[in-house]
Amino acid sequence: MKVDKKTVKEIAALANFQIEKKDEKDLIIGMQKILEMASSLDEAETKDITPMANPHDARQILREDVCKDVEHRDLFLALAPLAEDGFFLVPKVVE
Amino acid sequence: MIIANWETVIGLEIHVQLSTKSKIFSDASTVFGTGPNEQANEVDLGLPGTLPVVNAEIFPKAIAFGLSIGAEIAKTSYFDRKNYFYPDLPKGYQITQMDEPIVRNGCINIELNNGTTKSIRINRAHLEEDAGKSLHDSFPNMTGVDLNRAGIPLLEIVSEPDMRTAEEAEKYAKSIHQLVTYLSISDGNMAEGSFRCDANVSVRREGEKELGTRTETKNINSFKFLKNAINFEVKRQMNVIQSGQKVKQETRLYDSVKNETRPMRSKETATDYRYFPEPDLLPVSFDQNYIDQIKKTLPELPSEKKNRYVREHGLRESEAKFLSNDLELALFYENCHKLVKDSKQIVNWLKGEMLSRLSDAEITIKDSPISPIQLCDLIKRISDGTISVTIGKKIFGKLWEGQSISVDNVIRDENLAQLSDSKQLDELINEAIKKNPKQIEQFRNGKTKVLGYLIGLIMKETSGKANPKQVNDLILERINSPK
Amino acid sequence: MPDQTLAEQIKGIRRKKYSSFELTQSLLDRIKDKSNLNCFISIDENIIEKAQAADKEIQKGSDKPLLGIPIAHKDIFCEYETKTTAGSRMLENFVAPYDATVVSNLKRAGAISLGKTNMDEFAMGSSNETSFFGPVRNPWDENRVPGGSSGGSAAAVSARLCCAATGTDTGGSIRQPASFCGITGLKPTYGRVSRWGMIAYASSLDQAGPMALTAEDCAIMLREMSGHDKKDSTSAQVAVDDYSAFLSRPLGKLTIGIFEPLMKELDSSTSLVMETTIKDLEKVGVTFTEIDLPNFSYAIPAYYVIAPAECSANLSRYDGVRFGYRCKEPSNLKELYQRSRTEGLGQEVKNRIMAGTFALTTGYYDAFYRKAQQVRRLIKNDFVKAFKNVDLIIAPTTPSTAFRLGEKADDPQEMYLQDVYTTSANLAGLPALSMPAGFVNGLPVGAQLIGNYFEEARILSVAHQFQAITDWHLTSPDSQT
Repeated sequence: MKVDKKTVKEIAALANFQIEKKDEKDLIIGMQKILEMASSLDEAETKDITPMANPHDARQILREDVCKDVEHRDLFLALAPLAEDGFFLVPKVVE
Repeated sequence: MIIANWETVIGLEIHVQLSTKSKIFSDASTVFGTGPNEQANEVDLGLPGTLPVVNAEIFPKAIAFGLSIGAEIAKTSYFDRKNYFYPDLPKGYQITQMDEPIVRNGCINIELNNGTTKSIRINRAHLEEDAGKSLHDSFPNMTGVDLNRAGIPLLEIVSEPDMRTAEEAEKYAKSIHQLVTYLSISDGNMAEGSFRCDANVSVRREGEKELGTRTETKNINSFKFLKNAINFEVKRQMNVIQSGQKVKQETRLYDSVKNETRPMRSKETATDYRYFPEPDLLPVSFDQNYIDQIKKTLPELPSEKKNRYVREHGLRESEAKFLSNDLELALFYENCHKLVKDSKQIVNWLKGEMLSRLSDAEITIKDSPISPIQLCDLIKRISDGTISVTIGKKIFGKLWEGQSISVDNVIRDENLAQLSDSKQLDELINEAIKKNPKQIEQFRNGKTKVLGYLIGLIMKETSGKANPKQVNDLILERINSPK
Repeated sequence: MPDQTLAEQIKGIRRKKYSSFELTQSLLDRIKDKSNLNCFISIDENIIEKAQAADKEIQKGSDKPLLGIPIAHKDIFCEYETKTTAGSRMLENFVAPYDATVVSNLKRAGAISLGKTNMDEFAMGSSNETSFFGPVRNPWDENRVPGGSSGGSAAAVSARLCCAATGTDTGGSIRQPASFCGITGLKPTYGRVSRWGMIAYASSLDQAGPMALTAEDCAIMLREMSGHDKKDSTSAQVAVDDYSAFLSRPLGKLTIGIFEPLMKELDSSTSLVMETTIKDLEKVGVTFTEIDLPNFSYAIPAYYVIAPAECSANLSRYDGVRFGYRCKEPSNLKELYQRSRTEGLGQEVKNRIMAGTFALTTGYYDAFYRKAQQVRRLIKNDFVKAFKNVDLIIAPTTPSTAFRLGEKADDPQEMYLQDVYTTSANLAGLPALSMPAGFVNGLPVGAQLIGNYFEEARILSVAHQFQAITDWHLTSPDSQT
């Protein structure tokens, strides 16, 4: 598995990273090294093996449909880099 | 739209908000209409370290829907993450169901204009969380994000591309709307976003095997807009193809003011959603017993109701349909029917006075000021001859305006009971015959219309309280056997 | 006082040999003296008042098990109105509006939080060098790393800056630094300790656990940290044992499994430490037998797919919109996202997000992500089978002793291989502990005990009885030099 510039660009777009020319190489190497760690996976015999998403082998416990008032709303909005009139603000999105 | 040599192919994705008190993965309230972000807690905001906990209430609702469309119910279902960035999607992924949706392979019948029915297949219905809302016009150069809707529970119902016209799509959407409101799993309120349609539309020349390239027009929140958006899209796509170009697979937006669709700029790049199993949640399982219990408590569905009304209440097909189309109306009718067995009378009142009053007041029968008990009292007094239909309508108006709550009180207080004292009527009729010899002559010569005139006179004299049938009989008796 | 274990400090305070205030003050002094170790990202400004409040409660006769004991939290646990950074620039100024369940559970038990310990950024690293707040130094040799990602917690306990600390372990992040710093650290069964309020790295692997000088102290901590939590859907509904009560019980006929290939890879001096450990364990009545874990070698490859994949989604919420770092004057939304994330997250975090994003893309999902999840089941099945014949499994914790700062900076794969003995327990969700087992060239070496699901009590009692006849765990870096 060889990571190339095109792949890095596509993946960076999905992950929302900005890649400067100077960082390109580091990112390729960084990604490559991790993926190389995984390279021997294909040697494992996994025919008919159900994937395991979570080690906790149990059924989901569900929550009763009861609602609670939102606490600490003031603290939440205070965390925002930019908020006004109760809204979080981002640069204008044109739909 | 059927245009020679072209075929339109339509599939709908309908997002139905399930009526629950709290959100799908958090205990924040789902009530509509509070201030921005007032109902977004730490889970809805996707703050670091927060985790989803599944609301139990979504499952019986989704399963009830599945059972009603004859679908398979997954005994074990999983949640997945769908990854994409958008300001109204706090975690950067939406928790949804990809591989194991709760409902699979159902169908629903729609009735076409020519009276035949068509079956529309439903590929799947899955549970997911709603995103928040972006306001693009409230701040200069900025978009405001309100996450109150983030985490609202949705059932996304995905049809097969089985519809061929905008009308069919509209009928399908209406049928689904009717079904989810019948099942009481959603309030179906389109203005508040509880019922939204995405329309996948493509066109192809007749006889072509491959489907054309489709576009997805998102977030349509009225049946009229749905029809308009599809019709616009069909025309646009045909024009594109006819001008030798190719239809672009894209997400579009319907502008109801301009009545057109246009590409959504914010979603221009086709993205890879990288679905994978949500590791913060375990599989959800139900046994057959649980599903059977839900099946037992399923309410009667529109078509079942309609058939029963025809079969058991002796209503005409059209009358039964009128009632069963609207669950609230049907329930009102059924409450009346418990009190008065004369189904026809009930339907006539509902179709006539009730409907016109409701539409004047722009309210639904749920908010009618007249109760089934009141309407039935009214019907009873008409059929036992206490009042005439005309007086009945007058009383209906008084009850509607809240001037009284009791039919009998109105009759008593306003002295509206019919004159059935034949002695008093005899005198009035004798008087009338005396004063109108010419008309009596005409009647005897075969001009029976005159009878109506005479009855009218009596009714006028009695301010409508006389029983017209009785008056009719008495006049005939008098004319045919003069004293 | 600072040299005492948690159990001793509990007694000291209860018997009024010293007050919580005095203990806290002496620890603060020591933290100041050892500030070059860079163990803490922040110190609680109100810690003295909290200690004084605890003293008042003690006067009133409160019997909370950890009343007045100063402990430290890895800075991955949210603490109400307290800065919680996860070692990242992204959360440099993030003040948490809620407590992690681990934090509130320990508060309820009476413990007071000294401060938040340094860590690899978002728990991604094995040396504490990826922290935005600078690396932690190993108390045994300040030119060496303390391990990671819970390096701050491990070094703080080792340097006697606090008797116990919380940590998290996704692929070895409690056990490897415990081994490097000569302390005892336990990663419990997945689901034993709530993840609510613990900033996620890889949700299906992350598990919080105690780090302390002794197994006895880990037992005390774990009992207070554990339990079902309605706020964590993956939290287990399994009763919490009284771990302390089990510690000294006779082990009975206890068998520990050895997977030979793991021992063969070790260098001769580390190998000798493992052999001595096995002999010492035999002295307390344990018998050993060989087991087979045929898929063990796939643990690292599976881990380096699953952890990055999950983290690629878990870290999408760091977008500069609702909290955390936001770049200066973004001209549009895309720039806001891209620059905030690029500037706010460090290189190693970006590498993992990139690799994980890749592993989930349509063309590679089956070969990477799905395959890794299948291998994960194989690994679990191997353990399930092995535990039919043995009660515990012994393994090394790390392939080497603490390495020098910067030594593996240019070779990430060497760094990743730090987890070679530890990741399998995370993939399978099993409890595992690292305990001090000896020294090589003056640096601590840990031995790992892996147990069956929810058998933390058994692991802790074996470790405790081992520690009753050894004193590796009580050797302080100060006494060494």
